[in-house]
Amino acid sequence: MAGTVRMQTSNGRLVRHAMNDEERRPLTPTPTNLPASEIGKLIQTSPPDIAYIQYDISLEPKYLPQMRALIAKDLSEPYSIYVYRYFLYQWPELCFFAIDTSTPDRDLVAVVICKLEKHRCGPLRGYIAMLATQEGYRGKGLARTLVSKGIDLMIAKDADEIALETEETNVAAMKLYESLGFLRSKKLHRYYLNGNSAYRLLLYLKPGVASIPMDEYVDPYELPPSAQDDPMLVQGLEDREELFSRGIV
Amino acid sequence: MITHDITAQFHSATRHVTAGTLVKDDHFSLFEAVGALEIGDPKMDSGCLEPGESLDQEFDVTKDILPEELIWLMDGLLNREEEDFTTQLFNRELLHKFAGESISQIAFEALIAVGESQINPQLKDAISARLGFRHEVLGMLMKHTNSEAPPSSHTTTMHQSLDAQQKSQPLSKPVSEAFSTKLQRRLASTVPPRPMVTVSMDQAWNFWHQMLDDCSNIFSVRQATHSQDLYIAYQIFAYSSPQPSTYPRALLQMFLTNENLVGSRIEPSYFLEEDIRSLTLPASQLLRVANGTYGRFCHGNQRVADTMQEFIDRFEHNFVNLYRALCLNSCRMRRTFCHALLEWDNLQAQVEELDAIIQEAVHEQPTPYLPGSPPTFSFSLSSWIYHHKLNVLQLTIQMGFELAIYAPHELAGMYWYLSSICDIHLSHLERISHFVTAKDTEVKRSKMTPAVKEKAIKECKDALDRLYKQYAWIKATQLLAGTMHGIFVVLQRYGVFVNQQPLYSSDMMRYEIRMKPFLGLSIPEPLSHDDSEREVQMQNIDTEEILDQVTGFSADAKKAWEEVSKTTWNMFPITNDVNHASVLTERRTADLKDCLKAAIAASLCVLSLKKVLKNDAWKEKAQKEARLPAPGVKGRWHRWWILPALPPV
Repeated sequence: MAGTVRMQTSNGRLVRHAMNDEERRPLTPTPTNLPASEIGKLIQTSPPDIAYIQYDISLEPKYLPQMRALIAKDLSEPYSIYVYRYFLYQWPELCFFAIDTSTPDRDLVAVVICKLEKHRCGPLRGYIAMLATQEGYRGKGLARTLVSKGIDLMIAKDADEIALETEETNVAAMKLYESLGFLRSKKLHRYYLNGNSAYRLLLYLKPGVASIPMDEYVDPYELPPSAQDDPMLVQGLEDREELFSRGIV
Repeated sequence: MITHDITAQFHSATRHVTAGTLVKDDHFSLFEAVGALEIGDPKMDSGCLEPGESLDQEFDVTKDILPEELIWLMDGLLNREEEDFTTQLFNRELLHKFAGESISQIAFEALIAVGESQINPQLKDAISARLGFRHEVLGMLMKHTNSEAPPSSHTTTMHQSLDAQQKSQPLSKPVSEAFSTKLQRRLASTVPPRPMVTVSMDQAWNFWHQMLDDCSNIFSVRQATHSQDLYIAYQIFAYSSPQPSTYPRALLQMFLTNENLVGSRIEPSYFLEEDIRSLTLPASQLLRVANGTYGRFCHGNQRVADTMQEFIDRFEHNFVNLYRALCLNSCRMRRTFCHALLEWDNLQAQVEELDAIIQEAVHEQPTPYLPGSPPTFSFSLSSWIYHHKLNVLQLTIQMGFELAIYAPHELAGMYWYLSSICDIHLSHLERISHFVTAKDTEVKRSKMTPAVKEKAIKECKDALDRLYKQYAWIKATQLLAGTMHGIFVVLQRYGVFVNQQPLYSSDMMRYEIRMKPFLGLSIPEPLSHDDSEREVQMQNIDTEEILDQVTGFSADAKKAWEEVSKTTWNMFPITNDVNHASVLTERRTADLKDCLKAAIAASLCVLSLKKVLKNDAWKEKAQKEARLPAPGVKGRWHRWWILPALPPV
């Protein structure tokens, strides 16, 4: 039956009915003339003296130290320069930040860092790795704007889904993501070094993502020797991202 | 070894690389990136020292300390977070070389030395209580290693000792340099330093009380003398609140495999057969009696014997794993269930083929199950699997409520799904009952020796009893789930807990995320989003009618939970070798009471919703004020039943 994504089974195997391209297109709930990859414009804010910038490798000397300082302030977990470069070198365009143009040095006041790659050889998964807004700049929609810019670009790049983790006590972060359409898919027991548990949040961008076949589990022993010692990394390693996650607002 | 100086090549190769460039091969993943440490950053480098700081312990263990300081240190040692910490020891052995007995002896000698010492009597009592407690804890742990339950008087003494210690805690004097991250930093030079976790002393005392109770209570699961009873016993512990901590749960897990016997009683393969016999195959020659081989009992048919052997081999571990899953922390339990569902689903399809082989070999005659339906076979083995699969499916859905996985706007749908899975399960139990009843009739008519016949009749009765207990519990769950479904649908019609059209994705795709663990199941086949929406939203039924229906459901739900409360948790006699025979019963009764409270609260909620049917002011108020009480908060009657907190009518 074309025109639906109804699951049917035969011989115990899941069969997906063919869909035409029209049906594959991500659905947009809001009546708008905007293309799917610009939907975020509907909620993006432009407070006075704030400018949004898409990262570029040439900006590293000025802005990477500021990003690290901002993110490190809100996090107990430490990240080396390699973690930042891992994201920023491979997906510079998926990092957005906000600056305060009224300060003499046009200081960075909010940032989002993401990546986009195949998840266990299955869906093309966007991942929101870090998000932070400087105190005093919160409540102006900066985080929401940055995240939506990231999501829009992932949509333009044909992402199937977007994932992230957030601390269970971080009500603000969960509220933000849930208002954008994310759902909690699982809870991760004592995920963070401070002993707090986390929720994995997911957003599908196309129908049928749940049935895209994936590789089986990641072998925890594939971890580098330094990480093998670390229960937080080995524990519950069902997804690669599970050793890494941020969701601070 | 031949060495080459590559400095010059390296310099020339990197001359044109700008800052920020990452030179890496395809195998350099996020893992490696996260594994890297920056030397000199105190957050990452365990060896990085403040000016003037030394990595050596500042606390000298050989220095004399005051009795007050000793009390503080001893309390500080009790105040340790308990978690699965084996990997945090960095391969450092924890006194493995010393036998428990010799440590116990030292504690005992210390106790005598303190008794003979000349310190202030109050301090002396405080230190003695602390030493005595350690002596007792060690005794308990040594007993546990041999799977022995410590006598209950032992536990009582320890509780009293904890109270005494708590009382004398104000006598202590801090020695803050004694606890630091330094040792950990020395040992873990390749990973970032871990922050030191601080737990309040009050939390620590409560934790110990709780753990002592759990450790002693957990032994009562071994009173269960049957697979089904053992399952319920494990469930009772798994869903105690608070959930038992890691150590008692590890003990519980040990009971499953210790000396290769389940519950110190029975080999895994017989354990599995015991469960099948008491559900789908009573009085059957397919199963062994004891120490039998299948060749003797399977109607003398080698093909059937081989088939049974194959089935048992394939399943004994999966079956024990269901129990093992109940020993995990609740987050992991839910995820393990999700994986188990797919595994059992897959196996069910395979075992249907084994059932077919048996049908043919034993010349099973199909009988019409429902009036007017075509004759069908019993499919005893795959029926047994399906029952357990549905059970796991039900728990998986219910744990989503417990762990706050579902968004408020999903509750109507998830309670509907729960009730529909219960519906399917109830029909399945009826189907099994049909075949067991037929067997019962056959046995009663047959010509067997009186002893054999009596045993066969008893087996059929046991199976029917078990089916009844299951039926009662699932029926109660189904009725309350139906009530909750109705409540949340009506609330959504009143504009409460509505999903405010989020910017991204669609309801259909969100349904796909939610149903992801179940989409791969061949049975029960998940509904499409459209079909599910139709069932959940009941668009064609007006609100008043829904409320009338739900009023009936909630009244029935109350009755059904009362009915469940009247049943005992165990089907078979329990052994009385432990003093605390009633712990399981007490916990189950408390849990059922909470379910009943939830059912009563649900029926009151329905009444309120009826009253405000046309009260727009109330609806507006509720849209702003309605809340879902978290577990442990007033108004949350049960972890699986989330009654909304609404403004008064």
